[in-house]
Amino acid sequence: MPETGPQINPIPPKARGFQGLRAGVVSRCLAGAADYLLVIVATLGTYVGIVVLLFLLDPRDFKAPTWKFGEFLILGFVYMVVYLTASFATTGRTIGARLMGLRVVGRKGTKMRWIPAALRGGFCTVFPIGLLWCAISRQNRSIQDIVLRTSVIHEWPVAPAAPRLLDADARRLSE
Amino acid sequence: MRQDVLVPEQPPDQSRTSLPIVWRSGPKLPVTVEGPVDVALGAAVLVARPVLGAALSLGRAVEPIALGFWGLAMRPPLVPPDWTPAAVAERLADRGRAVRFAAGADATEITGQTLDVLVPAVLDPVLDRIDLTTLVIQRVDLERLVGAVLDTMDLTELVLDRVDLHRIVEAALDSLDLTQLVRDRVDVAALAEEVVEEIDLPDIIRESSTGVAGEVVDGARLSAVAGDELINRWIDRFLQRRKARRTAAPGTAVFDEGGAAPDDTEGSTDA
Repeated sequence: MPETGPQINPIPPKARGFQGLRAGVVSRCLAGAADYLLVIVATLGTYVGIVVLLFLLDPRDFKAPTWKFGEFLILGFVYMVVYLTASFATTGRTIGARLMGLRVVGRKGTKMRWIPAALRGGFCTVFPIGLLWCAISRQNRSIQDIVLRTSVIHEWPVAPAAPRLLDADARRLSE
Repeated sequence: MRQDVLVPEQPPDQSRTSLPIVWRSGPKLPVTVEGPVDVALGAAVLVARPVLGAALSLGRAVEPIALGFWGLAMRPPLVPPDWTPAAVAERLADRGRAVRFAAGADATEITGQTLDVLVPAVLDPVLDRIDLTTLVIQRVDLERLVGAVLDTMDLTELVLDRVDLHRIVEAALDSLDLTQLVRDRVDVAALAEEVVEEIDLPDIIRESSTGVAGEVVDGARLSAVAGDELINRWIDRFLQRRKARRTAAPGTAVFDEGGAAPDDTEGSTDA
């Protein structure tokens, strides 16, 4: 069956009007907050994992390691850069962005390459407050977007197998 | 009686305007008799025509004289009026009329009984000699007749009363390949598309496929978008911007359909 025919639009009618437009500060901050929460959980999870591993290796002489705040911060920084880079360069969505229906695109609206993605990931991690500029920008662009010429747009995720109910021509021809 | 038909059955011919409908009642005369009979008839006509003409001329000539004599004979002078032939004839006529009226009822009954015997005896042979169907087709305005009949009856009510519609529909459906008929005659795809548009099927699918969590997420996203717009309005008002924001991103459908092209020199466009 050829891939023709009308496709069901799974996006609610209320949300169709702003698909493809750059997102505002509230949506992006909420997505960022979800990502921060995820990285914090991952960082603390790493610490807990190490503690459990040490306990299992030597239960008698077990002594919980004491990490300083800076060490947590460095690990979290690394996690965040890797996580953002991989997300930007693959799907264009972090978990938070997926949750809020956002996607990061390059200057031509396409998926970012790895190096720009890594630059943006590092930039966002080092200078997160740059995000707030999108509230002031007339084009809803953060400092990172302006420097790297990227955009964060509304693009609600769609299930890959969107139903094609009315492949009318193909159905007629097949009979 | 089919063997007596004058013209044997032939294939339908469009040029013919009428069809044979009457058959001969008896056997034909022998050929040896037909000739002398025809000669005798011709001679009789030849003689009778001048004789009949002369008789008619003579009659016309003597008619006034004959009428005068007839009047004198019926009412002769010097005879009392009650005894003239005309008066006598008048009295006889009155008596005969009275008898006729008295016998009228009996005559009607006798006539009816006679017709009961006579009509079948005559009508059956007559009908045997007539192709009544063809006669009706040729001579009767069937369209007018049917129209008049239909005007006098409620055909719908009649069908509902007299016809077993269930059986008819069942028989019709048995004789039809309804599926094939629909495929041939109905643009099913166009119809389905129309129905889908009418009932907003995408919305139904979306609602059935997204659960409660999906609705919560959608609600959160929409609320965040509303928050975006609110913040944007506040800041634009604070910065006294008159023009709307240009948020179409390159490479998106919105951008391609005439949205404002992004200005990469961000600083130059920001207030």
